[in-house]
Formats: sequence, structure tokens, C-alpha cells
Amino acid sequence: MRGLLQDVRYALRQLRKNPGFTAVAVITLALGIGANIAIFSVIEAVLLRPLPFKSPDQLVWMNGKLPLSDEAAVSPPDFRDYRQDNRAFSCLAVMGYSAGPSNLVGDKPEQVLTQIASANFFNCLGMRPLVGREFTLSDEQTNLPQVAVLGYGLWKRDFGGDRNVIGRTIRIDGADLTVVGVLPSDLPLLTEAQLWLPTPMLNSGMNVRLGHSLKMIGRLRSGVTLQQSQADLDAIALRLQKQYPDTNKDWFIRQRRLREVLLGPTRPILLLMWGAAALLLLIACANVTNLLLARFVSRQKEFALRAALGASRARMVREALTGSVTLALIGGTLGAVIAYGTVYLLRSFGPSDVPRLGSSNIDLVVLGFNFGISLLTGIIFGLFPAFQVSGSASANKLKQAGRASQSVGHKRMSSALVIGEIAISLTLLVSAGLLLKSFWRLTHVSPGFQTDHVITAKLSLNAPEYGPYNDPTQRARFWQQFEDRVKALPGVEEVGATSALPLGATHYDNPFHIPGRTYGPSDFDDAQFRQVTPGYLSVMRIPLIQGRWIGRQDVAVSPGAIVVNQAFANRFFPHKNVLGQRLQLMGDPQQTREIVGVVGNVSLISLSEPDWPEMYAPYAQYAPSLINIVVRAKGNPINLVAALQAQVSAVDKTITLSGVRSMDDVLETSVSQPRFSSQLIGVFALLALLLAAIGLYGVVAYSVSQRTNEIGIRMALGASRQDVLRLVLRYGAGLALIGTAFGFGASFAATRVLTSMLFEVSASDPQTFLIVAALLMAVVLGACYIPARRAAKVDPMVALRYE
Amino acid sequence: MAETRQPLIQIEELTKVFYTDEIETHALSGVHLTISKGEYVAMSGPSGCGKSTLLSIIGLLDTPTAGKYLLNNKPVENLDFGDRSRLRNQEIGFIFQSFNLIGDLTVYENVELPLTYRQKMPSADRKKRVMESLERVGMAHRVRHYPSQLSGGQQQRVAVARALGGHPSILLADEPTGNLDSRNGEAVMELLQNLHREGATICMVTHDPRFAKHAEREVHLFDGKVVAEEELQKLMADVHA
Repeated sequence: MRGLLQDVRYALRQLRKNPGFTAVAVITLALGIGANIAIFSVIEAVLLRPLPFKSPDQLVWMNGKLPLSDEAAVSPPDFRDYRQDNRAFSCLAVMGYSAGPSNLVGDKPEQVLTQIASANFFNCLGMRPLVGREFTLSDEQTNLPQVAVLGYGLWKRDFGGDRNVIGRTIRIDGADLTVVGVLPSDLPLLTEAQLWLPTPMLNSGMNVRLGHSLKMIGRLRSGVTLQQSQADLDAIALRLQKQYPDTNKDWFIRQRRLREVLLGPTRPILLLMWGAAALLLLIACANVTNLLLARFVSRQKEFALRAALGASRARMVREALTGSVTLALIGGTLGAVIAYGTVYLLRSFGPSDVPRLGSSNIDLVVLGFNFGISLLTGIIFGLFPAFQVSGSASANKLKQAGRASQSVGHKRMSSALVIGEIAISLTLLVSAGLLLKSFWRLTHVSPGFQTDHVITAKLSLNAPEYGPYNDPTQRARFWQQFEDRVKALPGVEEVGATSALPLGATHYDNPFHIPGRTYGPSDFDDAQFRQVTPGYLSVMRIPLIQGRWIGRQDVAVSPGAIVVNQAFANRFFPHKNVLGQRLQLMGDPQQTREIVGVVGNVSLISLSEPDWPEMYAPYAQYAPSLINIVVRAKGNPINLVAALQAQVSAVDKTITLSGVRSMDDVLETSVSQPRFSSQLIGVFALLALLLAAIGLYGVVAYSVSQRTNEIGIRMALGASRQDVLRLVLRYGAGLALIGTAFGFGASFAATRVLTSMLFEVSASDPQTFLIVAALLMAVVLGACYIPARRAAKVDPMVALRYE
Repeated sequence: MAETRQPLIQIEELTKVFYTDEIETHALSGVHLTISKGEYVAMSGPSGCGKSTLLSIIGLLDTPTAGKYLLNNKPVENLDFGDRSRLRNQEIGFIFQSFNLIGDLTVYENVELPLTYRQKMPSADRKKRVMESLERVGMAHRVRHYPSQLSGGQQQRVAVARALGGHPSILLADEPTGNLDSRNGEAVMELLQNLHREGATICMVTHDPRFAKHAEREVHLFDGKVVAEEELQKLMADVHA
């Protein structure tokens, strides 16, 4: 132990003695280790941390499987059958498809995000209410919700964390509900809901077997496997298919672990980032190994002396390793500081759709990882130089009058390390290049509408006085008043509304029939469906291709009209005039609708998705309770926020707007994940390029210093400065070319994993490969140029004396 | 016979001053020297007398602080680095005390090296010259060997071949026997003498009087000046006194 402490003291003294070497090595290691810690802290928070539910591995997520979709929701009647008949689950529960805004009337009206949940939903997740109780089967036996459970955040914010809130009446969308419970936490992984209402199973909407509107979860009984539970679900599905052939033909339930559903989509991108960070650390290790090799060459005589004085090889290896581990631990400490800043940046600017990203931090687990990785790094980069130097320590070295020289083994190792660094850098650069090109392509896709000068907000008209379940005409009337007021506002160019905004919309089943065509039982066509107001088209600047757009003449009592997009016309009426054709939408108050116009396609889900067939129905004829208003402003649309809220309150003081955003922001958010991944890997790739350039610079500079005498001889023999410059550059370029060749091979293999993340770019895109290789060559040759120029300036007189 | 020869090197009032911090060191002070074509000159003198500095200036490795230097009747004292490199490559052949062969290159490549710096020399011509040179020094059978596989004497022979390969106007030898034992030293001196007999101009720096005797003429330097032999002995005696 005393010997080890002595070694550490000696290592620290050596590092102090060589501040230039120490600074370069520590910064290099800190960058590599810091990147790894930062990414690990995100992975720990997002992927490794257990789900905040009891025994989360027992929880499964269930989707309906239809011929057209693997991701269908479950209908309330089907859910009730599964809940009653299954044997594999200790509980089955559902929640609404998504949280929607409701108007909570308290001291001041506000919109809160509400979601419905079945009896036993929270218990099924393994949560016990903090106060009160959760929903019971009797809470479900109503036409409209009568009770509510408060989310933790809302309870703290609006009710001051008052435990006596149980039994109090709150007014939601004009209905009085009794608070029966408070959740111990919100459920950010599952939903943004702030307030929970029970599933009103007696409501007519809850008895439509084709109304796939619920998300189902279950908890496996102890000892039950996924295969067994799947068999149980399949048996129920087959029974339902027989019992309800009109609605359940080909219906099955597909199940996955809840963890996989919630965290699975982010796993590939985070693992890719970790891979990139690991490669960066490898490059850092290679750099420091090279630095150590060069330094140990200058310490050959010292080690020879130690050997002569009786030091064993193991003792010398230990001393050398102590030095490298000490260096790595210092680098790791600085790396932790870098990681702390990086994690802060990732939390602040990372994509909002990466779950639990906000909870990533440098905790004890991460610090433990940091220590481990630093230790390992120190051993990895220190091992080879340690064995080299201890092995080469011999009495002969003592006789060399202080003249250190690099052995063939050293040279080969240094060259191999630099070649490896360049190959890894190229791989990272190609990956970054592909992702950036993909991102560039994505951001140059026209969404089919213009986002500039447009603001959007959510408006919920769930209040009973507007007839949420039985009187859409009142909602239409509200809209008419609101629209007239907004239009009159200075700075407003046009106003409209839609039931779902493009970019970020969710797929819903929107079954319809085309009259005159033959369908089997439970067969239907499907397209995306929006209810829109007349102003929507001009606010969004969507082009009208054929016929007319929805107008003010399309009111509840006028003939049903519908507008479709180009993709719809191409798919369902190819080579036919689509105008005048009729559609029969399921659940539509109108018997049939006539197609009166065709508009351009817009990106509904994301910019990378293909154009989906879409239908637009007049809001006045089919008014949903939740709409997204869109307003085109003459100036900055954000300036209109207060005025819009004032106009809503002027029509009804209990209604408020929520989710106010510019459409530019909506567009930006839709590409936040590809931007995040391309930018982050871009940063890693640039760091890798920098480190590789430093590595090559170091090796070439060291080579030049070793070859000073040779350069002098060449000059004495008539070599010009250009000859010397070429000589050194050729050496560097040779290493870079070999590295690039290996890098091409590695890149071809590595970029296969990127295929699913690329948009309109091949994983082996030759343009990207060539540009990146040219960039890499330019940078590394630039790095070689510095020592090459220095070599060219060598005074042959001095160089010849150097011997 | 020397009177009938054309002058190859003409040096007048040559001065070289080194500046280190604020100290001026006069390495050469008003040196006059002429070396004719075909002449074999030995330069001698005590350590620090300026022999190597003068040889470096003659070899265009260094430039004088003042004075005139004509090589083949052309002034070369003010040439830039590039022109000096070109001229050095074409007109001068160096033989160093420590051979200065490049360890990573074979014997053939070492001899070929100065020729590779000539822009328009076909490789066939290069090969011919290399082999001729190696044959002249008796090392043609070792073309594929590396310097480390040769004895000191053999290495110096290769160095001589390298100097000869470029068909230089003059061979400059800086203590060519300094790193050799007496047998190999004699052999190298014999080689230089043979080359001289064949017409080569040689300027050799040596501090060994035995080898200086091989030259046609001996130039003595003392404190940066060319002095007559008698004067040198007097000066040396004063120093030792």
C-alpha cells in the first residue's frame, strides 16, 4: 500500500513536471469520459431506471390488431369482455386514448388536461392514491362522470395540497364532480393528464364495438408468461369474432411489456449515442496511449536505471499503470464537470418526447460509472506503454547517451493507433453526415401548408351547456361568435379551426363506405378525418386543387359535404372524377356526404410519413368538442395570444385557451428527435475529428522530432523545403489514407444500424461518404501541415549537429 | 600543375559571425581561399578554428555574414534557401564523419536519394548512376542491405557513393575517418585518393595529420583565419605556452 501511495505521489510529480503533456492528456480524456458519463446519465434515467410502478415487469400494454393496423385502440365493450373473461391477468384496465383539455372553473377558469380511466386503473399500475380512493366499478355505471381523481401536480397547485379536498365539488366543463382521490404522483410516462375521470360505461359512446378509443394495460398474474397470456387473449378474441362477426372480424390483441412500449422508441437513438460516445472515448484512449508511448520513450533511460537497480518488470508495470490511472482519474473528474454541463444542456434543449430526459442527472450511480470507466480507461491506455517500456528497459539503454529513440514496435503501435482513430472518426463522421443529410432532407420536405405567421391553441367545448354529447349546433354557434370576434381583431388576417392539427396528429380509425361498392362484414375503408371551419384552408395556405372548399353555406341542415385530399382521390377514385362521389362515414350524423373539393396533401403525422388519404368535413355539420384554432396574423402571431383569450372569455368566461404555440414551433417540434440525434452525433463526430487530428498531429510531430537528423541529411543532399514538406505530409497522408480505407469498411457496416433513422438517404450514400472522407483528409492533412512546415524550416546545420 | 587548373571555389574576405543572446562569436574572419577543379585540399586546425563552419559555407549549408563566394565563377553567397538546395544537390557531394545514412532506406535507396531531388531525371538514369557509384566504391553487391547491416567502413563507402552519384563538382568530406578504425580509415582515404586520381575535386576537413598528407594541399585555419603552416605552429606553440 505504501509503495502504491509512493507510486501515486511520483505519478503526480511527473504530471506536474510536464504540464503540456498533462493538459493535453487530461483534456482529451475528459472529453471522452465526459461524453460517456453524460450519455450514460441519460440512459440511466431514460432506460435503466425502473418504471415508477410496482413490479413493472408484470405490466403489459395491449393494442388491437386489425388487418390495417397493429396499433389499434380497444373499444369499451371489448375491454369489458376481456376484463371479465381473462384468466392470465390479475387486473385489466383502460384509459382514454389521450388527455384532452377541459375547463376547470375555480377561482379563475383554466384548462386542465383530463383523461378517463377505468375502475382499478391505478391499482393495476401498482399505485395507491395518496388521499382518498380510486375509481370503482360503481363509478363506471353512469352516463357522464360524477367523480374525479386529482393528479398530484394539480392538487398541489390548485388545491394547495389540501388533504381535505376529498368530497369537495369541482366544476369541470360545466358539470359538478366530486373529488374522491388524489394520486401520489403524475404519470408523465403514460400521459400528461392532470385530472382523471371514470369511464362512463353507460354512455352510448361507450357501447360501440367499432369505437376503438381506449388504451388497455394489464398486470400478469404471478408466474404467467407472455405466451400464456397471449393464448388467453387469443381465445377471447376468437370468441368475440364468432359472437360479433360484424365488428370483430380478424380482431386480435397484441401485447408487449409496458417498458418496451414506453421506452422502446428512444432506445435505438440513445444506444446509438452511447456507441458514438464509446468510440469517442476509444479515440481519446488511442491519443493518450500515443502520448504515453512518446513520453515513455524519453523515459527509457530512467526505466533502464530502475531495472539496473533491481526493479522487477511487474513493479515497473505497476508504476507505469499507476501513472496512467492517475491521469485517467484526473481526466474523469474533469469529465464529470463536462458531463454535468452537457446533461444540463441535454435536459434544457433535448427533445421533449424523450421520456424522463428531464430527470437525468449526475447521481451516485453515474458517479460510480464515471469512476469505473476512468479506471478502465487508465488501464486500457496505460497497459501497452507500460509493458513496452518495462520490456525495453535494459542496460543497453543506459549506455545510450540520453538519446531516446522509438523502436519499430512503438512506431507500428503509434501508426496503428492513429489509423484506428482516423477509421473511427470517419465512421462517426459518416454517421453524422448521413443523419444531417437526412435531417436536411426532412426539413426541406414541404408539409403542404405554410407555418409562418400562424398561431394555434386548443379550445375545449365540453361544457354541458354547449351540449357536448348531444348538441353540436351549440358548439358551432360558439365558434361562429368567436370567429367573428377574432376576425375583427387588428392584426388578424384569417381564422380557422380543425379537430386535429397536422404534424403530430395520431392515427384514428375513421371507417367509411363508398356507396355502391361491396364490403364484407366488418370491412370498411379507412382514411384520416378532420372537422374544419371555412377559414382553415386559407389560414394554412393549403392549395385547393379541384372543386370548392368548405364554406359558410355548409351548415348543419344543408346537405353533407366533404373535401378530400389528393392522396384520397388517388387511392379511392383513381382515374375517376372524385367530385360528386359520395361517402358514408360511420357515426356521422349525415347519411352520406358528397365530395365537393380536392385539396393538397399535408403532413399529418410527421414530415417523414407518406401522404395519408384525408377527409375534411364542415365543423358546422359535425362539430367535435375539442378543436384547435389556427389564426394567421399580419405580424408576429404571438402578439395575439392575450387578445384571443379575451375573445374566448367574451363569448364564455368559463372557457379558456390552452396549448398556445406558433405553427413554426409545431413544425420545429415535429423534427426535434432527428435534430437532436443528428446534432448530438455531429458534436461527437467533430470531437472525434478534432481528437483524431490532434492524434495524427502528435504522431507526425513526434516522428518529425525523431527524424530531425534525417531531415538535415536530406537537406544536405539537396532536398528543398518543399521536398521535406512533401515527405512529412506523405507520411501523414499515408496514415490518413489507410485509416480512411478502414473507416470506409467500418462505416459501411456501422451505418446499417442507422437505416431506420434515415429519411430519403441511403445508409451507404456515396456522396456523404466521399464528402466526409474529403473533409477528414483535409483536416488531418491540415494537422500534419503544422509539423511538416516545422520540419521544412529545420536548419540543416542544426539538424546535422542533432546527431 | 595547379596553376593551369580553373578555379572552382573562390572565397574572399569571408566572415561568419554567430549571435547567441548578446554574444558575438566570430567563427570566420576574412577568409581567402581558392580551390581549383581537380584539386584535393585538406583543411586542418584545432577544435573551434572554423573548419566545419567554412566547410558548411562552401557546401551551401550555411551563408556567410560577409564576403564573397564564387562557385564555378558564379556568386552564391546571397542565394536563397531553395537555390542553395538546388545547387547543393547538383554541385556538391557531402561525406560526413558519422556517415549519415538513413536507417530506414536500403543502400540503393540511400545512394539514389539525392538524385530523387532532381526534377527531371528518369529512373533508368538514376539507376545507372547509383549502380556506377556503388561499383566505384565496391559496394554494388550490397544494394539491398540496410545501413545497420553494414560495418562502419562499408557505411562510409556507401556515403561516398551517395556523394558521387550526383556527379558533383566537389566532394566535401567532414572528418570522413573520424568514426572509423585505422584500417577502415585508411581504406576510405585510399578511396578518396583514387577518386582524386580520376579527376574529382575534394575538400576534406581533418584534424589527423596522417590523413591530411593524402591531400595535394593543406589549408590551416586558426581562430577563423587561414594561416600558413609555420604561422600555425607558432600560434599553437603560443597557446600551449
